[in-house]
Amino acid sequence: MWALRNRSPSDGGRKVSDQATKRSAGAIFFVASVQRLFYTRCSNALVRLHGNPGGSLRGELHMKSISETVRSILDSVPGLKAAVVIDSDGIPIALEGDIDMEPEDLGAMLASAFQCYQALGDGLGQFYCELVTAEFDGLNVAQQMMPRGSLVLVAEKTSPMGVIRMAAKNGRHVLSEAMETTAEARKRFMEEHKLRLPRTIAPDGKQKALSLLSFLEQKKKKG
Amino acid sequence: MKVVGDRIYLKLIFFGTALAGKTTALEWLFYHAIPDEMKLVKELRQVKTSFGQTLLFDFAPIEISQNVVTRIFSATGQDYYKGTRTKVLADSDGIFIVIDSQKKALERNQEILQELWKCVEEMENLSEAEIVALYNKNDLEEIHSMEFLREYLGLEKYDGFSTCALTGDNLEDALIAMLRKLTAKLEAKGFVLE
Repeated sequence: MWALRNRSPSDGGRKVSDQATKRSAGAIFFVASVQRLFYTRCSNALVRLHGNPGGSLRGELHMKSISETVRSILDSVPGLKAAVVIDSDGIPIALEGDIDMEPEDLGAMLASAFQCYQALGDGLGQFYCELVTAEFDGLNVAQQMMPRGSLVLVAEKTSPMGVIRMAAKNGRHVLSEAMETTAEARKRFMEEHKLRLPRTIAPDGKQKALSLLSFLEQKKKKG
Repeated sequence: MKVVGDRIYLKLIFFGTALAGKTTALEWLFYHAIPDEMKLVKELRQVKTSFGQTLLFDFAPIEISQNVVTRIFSATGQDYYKGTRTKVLADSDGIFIVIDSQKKALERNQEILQELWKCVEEMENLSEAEIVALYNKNDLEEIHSMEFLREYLGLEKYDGFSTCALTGDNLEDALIAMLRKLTAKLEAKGFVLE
C-alpha cells in the first residue's frame, strides 16, 4: 500500500525501482482480491435473499438481507472488527462483529458526527459528504454515506485505511438497494400492518407493566 | 417515529436557550426518575465544550416500553453552535421547550422560540411533534411567573410545568405529560403498548 501511495500523480515520469514496482503489483493484487471476494460474497447473499418470494414478510426479508450483507462485509475484509449500518438518524439497522458499545449509543454518535461533517461541507460549498475516516490509537474507522443512512466499518489498527476505505465504498454499492427497499418496507409495515407489540408474561402468569409511563404514574399515586 | 425490526424508535428533545437547564433536566430525569432497567446506557452520552457546556448534544436511549425505545437528546443552547442545533432537532416526536424563567432571559427565550417555529415550518414532520413547555428555574427570585411567560411567549396551547431542574420539581409530571401524548399518538396509529 505504501508503494501505491508513493506513486502519486506528482511523481510524474520518475523512475520507480523494481522492488517498488513489485510491492505495487502485490498491493494491487491484494486490493483487487479483497474487492473481488467482497463483491462475490455480498452478491451471493443478496441473490439468495432477493430470490425469496415477496408477500407480507418482504420487509423482514430485506432487513435480514442487510444483516447478511453486513456479515459478508465483515467476513471478507481482513482486520475488520465490526460493520454497522445505521439509518440517517442513527438508528441501528444492522450490527455485526465485536464492538463494546450499545448500538443506539453508537448510532447517535455516528449520525451526529456525520451531520457535523455534512454541515461543514455545506459551509465550504460542497454538496455531498461521501466518506469520513477516523484513525484512533487502536482502531481505524470509516463511515460511508449511503442512501438513507451510512455504513460504518471499525477495523484493527493494523488494517490499512486504504483497504477499509475501499471496502466501505464497495459496501455502499451492495447495500444501497437494500436500504432503499427497507425504507419502503418500514413505511408499509407501519401504515398497513398496525404492529401489535408482544407483551411480556411474568413467571406468575400475569402481564408485566413495563412502560415508563405506568411506572411514573404508579410512583406518583404512591406519592 | 420509526420502526426498525421489532422496535419503535421515538425521539425526544430538550430545546431552549443557553443555560436554561436543558442538560440539568435531562440529567435529573436520567439519574432520578428513570429506572435502571429501562436505560440502554449506564451514563448519559455527552459531547461538551472544554468549559463544560453542551457542544453538540446530550443523549440517553431509554426503553420506555417493551420494544419502544425513546432517544432523548438535549440540544446545545449556545448560539455559536447554532448550525448543528437544528440538525439535532430533525425528526423529533416530542419537544420539551425549556424556558429560562429569569426576567433577564426574556428576550433570549423569544429568540430561541422564533428559531424553533422557523424549524417547525421548514422541517418535514416537525409540525407533528408533541410539545411540552418547562418554565424552569422556579427556585430563583428574579423570575417571571409561568402564567406571564405562557402568554407573553405565545405558549398557551401547550402543556406547561413550572420546574426546577436542579431539584427535579415537576419534571416527572412533565415527562408523564409527554409520554401520555406519545402513547396516545402511537395508539391512534394502531400500536398497542405496555
